Amino acid sequence: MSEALNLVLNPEIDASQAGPHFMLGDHACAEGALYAGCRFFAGYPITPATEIAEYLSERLPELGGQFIQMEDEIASMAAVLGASVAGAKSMTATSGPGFSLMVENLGLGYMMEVPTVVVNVQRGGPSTGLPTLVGQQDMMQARFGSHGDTTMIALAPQSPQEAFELTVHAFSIAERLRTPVLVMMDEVVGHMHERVIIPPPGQIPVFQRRRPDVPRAEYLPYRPGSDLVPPMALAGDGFAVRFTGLTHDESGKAVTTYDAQQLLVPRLREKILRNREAYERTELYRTEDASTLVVAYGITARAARRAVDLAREHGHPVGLFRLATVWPFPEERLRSLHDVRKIVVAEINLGQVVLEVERIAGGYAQVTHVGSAGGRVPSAEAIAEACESAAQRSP
Amino acid sequence: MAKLTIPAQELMYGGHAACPGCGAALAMRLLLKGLGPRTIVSLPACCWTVIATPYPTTALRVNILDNPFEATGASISGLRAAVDVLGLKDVHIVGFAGDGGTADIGLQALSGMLERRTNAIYVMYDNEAYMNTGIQRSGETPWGAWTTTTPVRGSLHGKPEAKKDMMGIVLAHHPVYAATVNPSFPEDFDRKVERARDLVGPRFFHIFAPCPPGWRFDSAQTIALGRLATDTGVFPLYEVVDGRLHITRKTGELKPVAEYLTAQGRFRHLTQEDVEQIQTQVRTDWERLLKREREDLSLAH
Amino acid sequence: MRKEVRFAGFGGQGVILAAYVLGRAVSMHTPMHATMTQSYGPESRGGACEADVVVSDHEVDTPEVERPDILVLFSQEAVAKNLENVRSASLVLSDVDLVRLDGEVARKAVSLPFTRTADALGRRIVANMVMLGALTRASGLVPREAMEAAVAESVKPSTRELNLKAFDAGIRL
Repeated sequence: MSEALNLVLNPEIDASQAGPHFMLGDHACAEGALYAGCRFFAGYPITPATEIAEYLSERLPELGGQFIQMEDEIASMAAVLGASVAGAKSMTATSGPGFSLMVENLGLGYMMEVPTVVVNVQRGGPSTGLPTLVGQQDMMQARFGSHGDTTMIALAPQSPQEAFELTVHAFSIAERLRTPVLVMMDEVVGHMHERVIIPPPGQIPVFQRRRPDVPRAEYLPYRPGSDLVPPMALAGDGFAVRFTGLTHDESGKAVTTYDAQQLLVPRLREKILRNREAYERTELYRTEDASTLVVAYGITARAARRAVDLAREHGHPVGLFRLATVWPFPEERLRSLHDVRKIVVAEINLGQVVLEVERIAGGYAQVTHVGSAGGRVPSAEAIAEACESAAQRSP
Repeated sequence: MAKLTIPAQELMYGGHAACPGCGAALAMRLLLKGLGPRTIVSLPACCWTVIATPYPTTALRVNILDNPFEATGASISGLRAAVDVLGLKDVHIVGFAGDGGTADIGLQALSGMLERRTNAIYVMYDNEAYMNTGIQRSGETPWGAWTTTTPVRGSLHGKPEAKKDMMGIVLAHHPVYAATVNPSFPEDFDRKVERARDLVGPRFFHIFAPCPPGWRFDSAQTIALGRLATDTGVFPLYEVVDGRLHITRKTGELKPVAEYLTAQGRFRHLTQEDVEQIQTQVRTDWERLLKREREDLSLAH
Repeated sequence: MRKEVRFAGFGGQGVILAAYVLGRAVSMHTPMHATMTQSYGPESRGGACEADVVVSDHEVDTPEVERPDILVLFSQEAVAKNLENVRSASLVLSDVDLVRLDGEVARKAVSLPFTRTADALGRRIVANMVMLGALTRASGLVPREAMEAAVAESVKPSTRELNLKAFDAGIRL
């Protein structure tokens, strides 16, 4: 292996940041990327994600990595795909309007099976909307924004500490399943300072890209392993590869037929759905005896946690089901809470993840929604009130 | 006594949200004085989308259309088409975009508009970085300048790349009119606006727009700094009409570029050699401009 | 225990740094928890500037500050923006030369010469540190040592001594 390739695959370990910090959420996300071995970032200024780019413009060169400020978000997304195909762990970060520009290339990433991490620090929309205020309104865009049938993975941190941890996690998922992974932050988490403890290198496991173990002549870049994930050769490995956004066969050659499509696109979906253990993360709070459940993610989950306490003070058995992984929705875990008959979904939008909860809970639990068009986190009191009135409603 | 030539009409009012000493605010004010009230301004994401209408006030007496960051050239193409269909002969269509929105993300739409010969005025107000999001480098940030994404620390020494030549890119599309203007020279500014106003076809202005918080200088010094930019040759004033270039301000010997650089915190880290390198480049560019002017003049005869 | 602290003034007065120092002191030098947020909106362009810190002995659930318990005022405009809060806060600290308070509020407020004290130390920019000293004493929220450590960590080494001196002057106001 060439020295340069070795450096890309095994970047210099950086222990300089291990320890406690009082840190901005955006910066914690950037540190998470560095911890995971990300050494390439391409991005474009946009509130409230700009601080991630600013931070990495200084930190990446220190670590022998590269920061490029691109001419727009289309270019940013294309650049991180390129870097990843060549072998570097790569990331970009943006917010709503920029995310809209990224989705075509994001779809290319799903189709070509390119590991990378895309951060969306959500603000109020649509359009320019509320650049400096919070939203969770891009959750369905994350899920379905790309054209064509795509199945994707999205995480949502609730604090700067978790922005760090879930970004590390996102890189491992991306490498393990060969797919872009979205970190759906929100403006409050991105723009708040809080205690962040960065563990020493190695404490959080980081998955390294699985590379081909067959002779060069036999390598087929899209022949999946038993987990439906194909090993990935890197530039410099000496393998012949062709990455294409056209429907392709295992060799990577474009085959635009019905049959090839039925082999490829369902595999891309099953690859995600069959490997849930690689990415599914949820947290339960006071659910043991709960008949009413709050479902929440990101900053809203913190208000929801307080709401659970408030509702319980009033005698209602309420619990919290927090999604650190939002997509694919951890539906078996939700269904496993057998006693739940009422569900309140709290999110900063006019009803997005609630649609998925309604689908899953159909037939066994009533689902209501607490939210707004963005700009503010729902108060714990409002969520508690919704829980209490849901609990009192006849089934 | 010199006669005041700048129109008295004000189409930009107080109640705007610009920072003190904002060059971009002066740019809009002077532009609208020259164009008059029958003007529609299209704005992409930039400082001006925030400056124009801080609730509950509005700073402009003309109609405003917002467009996405990448779309100013396309937006004014649509505006012009509709105004033509409606038979409105006296309406000026203006795209008013920052340097990032023009030279980076908006370049494709600008090029399309120029190539299609869209009858509109495209303005790039150049504060040499993404100022609305807090001072990130753009294609128009000059070599060596500090921004929040071109830090100065260790081996990092400000922006390593040169400023993109937007006038060159625009002129390659052969617009009917293109000019550089600077709010520190309001008579020159207004004369050029009035000249462009009465032409038909794609027209382009590159406006120098000092930014006190982004460039790190005292907001009381905007006009003085603007004058220095032109008189050192950093931002020469010229216009190109039907392909013929004419320099509109010449003061004999250029002032040393160091006077301009040392007035701003964003260049504080530059070494003597850096300054000399910039000086050499500015002089070369100036000579080239003079040469082009001479050639165009001889072709005209 | 949950205490909400708001710092309100103009850009350039070090309001955000002051909030950062308080949040850092709590997070890095006490077992308590702190969350800091700041105003980013278009209003920050006009010059007004606010930063909030929530201090809690539990993990902070929501960082939004609705009704600050402690309000620090560095400009008259900040008073106008926080009229309700000035009345409801249990501790109001204000710069006596920059802020005029009337009536009942004036009686309860702790009005001290932050800026004037900083001027006497030779650098107006450290008025925020003078204020933090006064806040530390008046509120009893965070131990002095934790605040001093955070001040020292949050400023450039070349100005550390001056900032600590300003903080100390604030304690003694």
